[in-house]
Amino acid sequence: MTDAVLSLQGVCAGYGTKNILQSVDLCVKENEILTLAGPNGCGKSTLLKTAAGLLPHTSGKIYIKGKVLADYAPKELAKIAAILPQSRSVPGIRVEQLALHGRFPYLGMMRRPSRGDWEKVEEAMELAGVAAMRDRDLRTLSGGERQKAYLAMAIAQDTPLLFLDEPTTYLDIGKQFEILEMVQLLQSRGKTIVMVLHDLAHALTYSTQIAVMQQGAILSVQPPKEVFSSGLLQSVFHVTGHCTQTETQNIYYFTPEK
Amino acid sequence: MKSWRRKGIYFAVCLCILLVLAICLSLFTGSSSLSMTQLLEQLRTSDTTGTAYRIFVYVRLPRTLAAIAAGAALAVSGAIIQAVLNNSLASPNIIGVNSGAGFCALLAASLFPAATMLVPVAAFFGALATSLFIYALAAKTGASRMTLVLAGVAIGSILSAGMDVLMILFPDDVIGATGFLVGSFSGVTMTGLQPAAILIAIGLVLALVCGYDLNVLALGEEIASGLGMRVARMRFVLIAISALLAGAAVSFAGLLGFIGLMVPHICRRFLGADNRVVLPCAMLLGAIFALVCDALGKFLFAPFEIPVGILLALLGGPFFLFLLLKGGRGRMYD
Repeated sequence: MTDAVLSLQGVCAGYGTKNILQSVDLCVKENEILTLAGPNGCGKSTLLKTAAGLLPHTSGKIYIKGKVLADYAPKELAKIAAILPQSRSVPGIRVEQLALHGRFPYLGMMRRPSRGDWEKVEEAMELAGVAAMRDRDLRTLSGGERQKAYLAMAIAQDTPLLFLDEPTTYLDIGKQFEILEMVQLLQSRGKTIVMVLHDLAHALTYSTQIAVMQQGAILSVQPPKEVFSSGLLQSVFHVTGHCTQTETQNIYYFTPEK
Repeated sequence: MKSWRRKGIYFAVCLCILLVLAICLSLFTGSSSLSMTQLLEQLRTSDTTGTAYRIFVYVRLPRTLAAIAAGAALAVSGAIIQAVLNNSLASPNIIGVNSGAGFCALLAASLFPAATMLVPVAAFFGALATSLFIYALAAKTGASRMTLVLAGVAIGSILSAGMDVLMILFPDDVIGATGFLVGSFSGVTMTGLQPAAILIAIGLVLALVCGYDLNVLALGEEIASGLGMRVARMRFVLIAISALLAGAAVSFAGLLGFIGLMVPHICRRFLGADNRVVLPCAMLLGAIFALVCDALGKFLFAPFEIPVGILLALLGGPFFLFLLLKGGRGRMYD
């Protein structure tokens, strides 16, 4: 457990008096891509927000890098974990400015970015593929470009842990692959990623671990192959899963339950 | 130099030039003509009994400074409140903040007529209470942007009724009653302006310092929290700054409307949404706007003088209707 970046023990959380998460246990190891999969309303986003400290938990314990979540000061936490939530504003700012916001936890009282901050921003924009559109207004970008710009901000935050809530939603298939490949690239650079995906085939292809959720609880956490062969995804989503093996990879797809 | 930066600098330089021209316009227009040679002579010889000197020092100068202070304060207050509520229809007068400030200012002036320093402080607390009420309404009930505007109208009506009651109960003590309700810079004295001007100066400095944080807040509550911002605290600080500015302006200029609505819109139209640029430009443009409208009020129907609040309402009303009819849901950010 020493290499656990994120650990949840018996965590309950929700909105108002209603608990969505029911005693969730989860351990995310360093350099993993863990995908939360489950039907609508099962608590995936709630879990992501709770683990990232955006939503308070009513019981249980959350550890990030071995330290209790509540013991982190907000800026200290923002240097360890970045989150891209589902709902985002689109202010009329330039892509470069947005990416620079990722450096907010590192800025001093006068909020003046240092040369090091600008270097991180440049690197993040290159990595996210938005360097060429740095001066474009966020509002003029397509959904995919906007998603990449927000990813550049999260990358500029330079955290070992990254939470992504449905990073591919509303994007065309090509852009979805671009984003998922970027996620893999980030993993290859040593980051740990916890994300929510609705597309099961993508989850099985791009994750190292899949946590299957239902009604606020985690049913299992397994590598993609195992979770697919267990039939759990099929029973939770009421679908039939198919897997075709090619020389290089497994190709998954799902059809309605017979 | 990058085009957006060049654009910002050009805009700021133009505003500075316009501000100087507007100050001259304000200083040298009025019901009585002011001879420059006479004035310069009296200033040089420190002839404090000369007519030109007296008009300049006791009438024109306080009025000009009042217009600068109120215009800058209300424009920046509006820019902040629009960004915090993510509502482009919001401004201190629309959501009832001015009325809150006005009611408390009148209450303080009625109950403690001798304590002039108390008026801007009371106005600040009135503005703060109204702002926090509106914000709580938005946060707790998830009220739509239009509902907030309507809630502001309702609050404004209640507080206006309160102000009317005060004027009936304390007819002698209430500060320049009619001018106060409409909004005007005539009759402002240096002594009356001083405490409010200090509060405005503090508020403007704080607002400019918070420009970057306001940008981060504009990304949405969850992203701002994820970036390490203490969102609730920051929102409170920003609302307090906005209330300080609106309250202080109302305390001497009365219920001036629409500067806080129009000026931030114009700045954002030309400069985008970066509050580090929008706030200082709104400050300059707000001052220019108030100076020019006040000067227009002085000579448009001369020898009669139209209070600046009436001109602002004439301009601001159609502007507000335009924003309503433009079809957007009033969001600043999609």
